[in-house]
Amino acid sequence: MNRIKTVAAFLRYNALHIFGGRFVVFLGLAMGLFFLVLLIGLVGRGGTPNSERLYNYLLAPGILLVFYPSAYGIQRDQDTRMVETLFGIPDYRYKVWLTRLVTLYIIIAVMMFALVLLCRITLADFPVWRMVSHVMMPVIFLGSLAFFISAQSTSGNVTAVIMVIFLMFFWVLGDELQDSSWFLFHNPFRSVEALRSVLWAQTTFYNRLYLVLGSVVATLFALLRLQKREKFI
Amino acid sequence: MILVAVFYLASLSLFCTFKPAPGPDRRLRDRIFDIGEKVVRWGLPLPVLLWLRGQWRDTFSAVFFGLIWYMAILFKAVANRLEKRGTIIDRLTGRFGRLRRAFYRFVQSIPLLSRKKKPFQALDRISLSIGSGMFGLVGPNGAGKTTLMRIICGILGSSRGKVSFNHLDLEENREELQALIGYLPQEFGTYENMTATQFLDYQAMLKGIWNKRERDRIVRTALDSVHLSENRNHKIRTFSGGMKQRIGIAQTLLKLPRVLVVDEPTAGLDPRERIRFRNLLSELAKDRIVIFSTHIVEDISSSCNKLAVLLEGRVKFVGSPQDLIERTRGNVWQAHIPEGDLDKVRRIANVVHHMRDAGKVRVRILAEEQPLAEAKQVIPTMEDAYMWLMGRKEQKQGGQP
Repeated sequence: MNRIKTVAAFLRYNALHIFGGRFVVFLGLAMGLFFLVLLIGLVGRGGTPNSERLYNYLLAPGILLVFYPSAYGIQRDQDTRMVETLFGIPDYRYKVWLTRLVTLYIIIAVMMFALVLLCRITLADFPVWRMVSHVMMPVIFLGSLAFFISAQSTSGNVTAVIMVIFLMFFWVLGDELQDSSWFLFHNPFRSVEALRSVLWAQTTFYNRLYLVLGSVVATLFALLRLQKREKFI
Repeated sequence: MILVAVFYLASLSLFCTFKPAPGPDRRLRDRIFDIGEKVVRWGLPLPVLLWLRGQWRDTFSAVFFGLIWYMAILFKAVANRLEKRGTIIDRLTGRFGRLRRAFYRFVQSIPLLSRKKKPFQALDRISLSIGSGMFGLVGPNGAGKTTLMRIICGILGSSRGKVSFNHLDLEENREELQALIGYLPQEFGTYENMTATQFLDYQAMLKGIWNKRERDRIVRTALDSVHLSENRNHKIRTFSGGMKQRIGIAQTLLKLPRVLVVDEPTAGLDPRERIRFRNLLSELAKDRIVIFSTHIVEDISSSCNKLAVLLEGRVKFVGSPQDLIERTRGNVWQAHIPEGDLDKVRRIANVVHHMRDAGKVRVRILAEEQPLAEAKQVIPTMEDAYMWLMGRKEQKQGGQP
C-alpha cells in the first residue's frame, strides 16, 4: 500500500510539473477540442461517426496534449534553473525525463479511454481498447520525436517549428501517402474493400512497427543526449 | 526525395572541395567559384522543384516543399554570415533593429546552425587534495570557482586532468559517484507551482528515499533546519528570494552525501540566516567533505579549516585561513589622515578601507613598507589577506594596486 501511495504521489508530482501547473487548462482544451470536432462531425456530416472518423477526431486532442510537454519540457527545466539540480540526481535521465514522458503518455491514454468510453455509451459500439491503443501510436511517436528534437536543440521554440513543419508535410502529402505504411496519420479503421483488407492490415502492421521503432529510437537518442550535461548548461 | 537531397548536397560538396584557399593571387578564381557555388546553392532547387511538380502533379506540394528548401538555404546563409562577421546580435541597432535581432536569434537557435562556442580555458593546472572538513573556495567573479565545482560534481567534464574520489576516477565512474556527491548550484530554481513540502517530497523521491514515513520525517527535519516549517504548505511562488534560497538549502539536506558541494549558498540570505547556515555546514563537515565557495571572505574565516584562492583559473593559495593571514602580517597599516588628503593617499597606496572618524579619515593600507609617516602596523584580518593576495596579482600585471 505504501509503495502504491508513493508511486501515485511520484506520478502526481510529475503531472504537476509536466503541464507547468496548467494541467486542468490543457485537459479542458483537449476535451473542448474533441467535443468541438465531434459536434462539427455530427452536424456537418450528419449521423453517428464510425470508427474511422472517431479515430481522426481523437488524434487532434492527443497531439495537442502531447505536444507542449514533450517540446518544452527540457527548456522549462532550463528556464526554471532546475536543470543543474536535476543533473545531480543519480540516474536522472530515467528518474526525471523518461518518467515524465511515460507519465504524459499514461495521462493521454487515460483521457483517450474516457473519451472513447463516453462515445461508446452515447453514440455507438466502438472498440475501446483497440481504438485507444491505435490512437496512442502516433501520439507516442510525436511525443518521442518532439522530446528527441528538444534534447538536440535544447529549445522549445525550435522544436515547435520543426514539429509544425513535420506535421504539415504529412498533412499536405496526405493524399499521396495515405496508402503507404509510412503515413503518420495512417487510419487502421479506414473502410476498405474486402479484397484490399489483407493488404490494409499488412500496411497497418508495418506502419505501427515503424512508429514503435521510431518512438523507441527517438527516446533512446534523446536520453543519450541528456547524458551530455555540458550541452544543457 | 532522398535522391534529390543527395544530388543537391553532392553538387555543393563538389564546389566546396575544389574551392581554392583564399589568397591574393587567386582573386578571379575565388570569385568564379563563389558565383558557381551560389548558382548551385540557390539555383539548383528551381529545376528540381519543377521536376518534382511534374512527378507529383501537385503545384501546391511542390511550392510548399520549395519554400521549406529555400528557407533552409537562407537560414544557413545568414548563420554563416553571422559566424564570419562575428556579429554580436544583442548589440545590433539601426533600421529594423528589433526585427533583425529577433530573426538572427531565431536562426541561431536552429540546431546545426547555431554558432559554435569558442573554446575558453576556465581552469589552468589546478591540483587540489581535499580531505574531510570544510574546504573554502574564494576568488573574484570569473575566477573559475563554479567551473571547478561543476567538474568536481561531474556536471561538466574536464578536457584534461582528472578528479578522483578515494582513487576512483570521476570521469570513468560518473554515474556511480553521483550518489556520493551532493550539489547546490549557484543559480538554482524550484518548481514554483508546488508547495514547499511537495517540492521537497518530490526531490526526496528522486534521491531514492521511497519509504513514506522516512521521507516525511526527513522533509520535516529539512524544513525545520531552514525555518520554513510555518510555510510548508504554501506555494513556492509566494516565497521571497531568501526563502527560495532556503528551500534550495533544505533540498541538499534531504540526503546527506559523502561530499557536499555548495556554490555561494549564503548569497541573498540575511545575516542571521547566513550565520545559521554557515554553522549548519560546519556541523555537517564533521564527518564529510564540504566544499563551499563564496564571495564573502568572512564566511570562510569563520567556518573553513582549509581554503583555496582562485584567480583567473589558477590556484593562488592553498592552506588554512591562519596561513593566509600570516602571509600578510607586517603589510597592513592604519593611519588617521586629514579628509582632504584621502585622494592623494589613494593614488600612492592600496587603501582597503577608509572611515570618517572625528574630523579625520581612518585609512587601512596594504603595503610592504610604511606608506605614510603616521601609519602604524596593525593585525591583519582575513579580508586584508585576501585583498593583499589580489593586490599582488594586479601589481604584477602593472595595474594600479
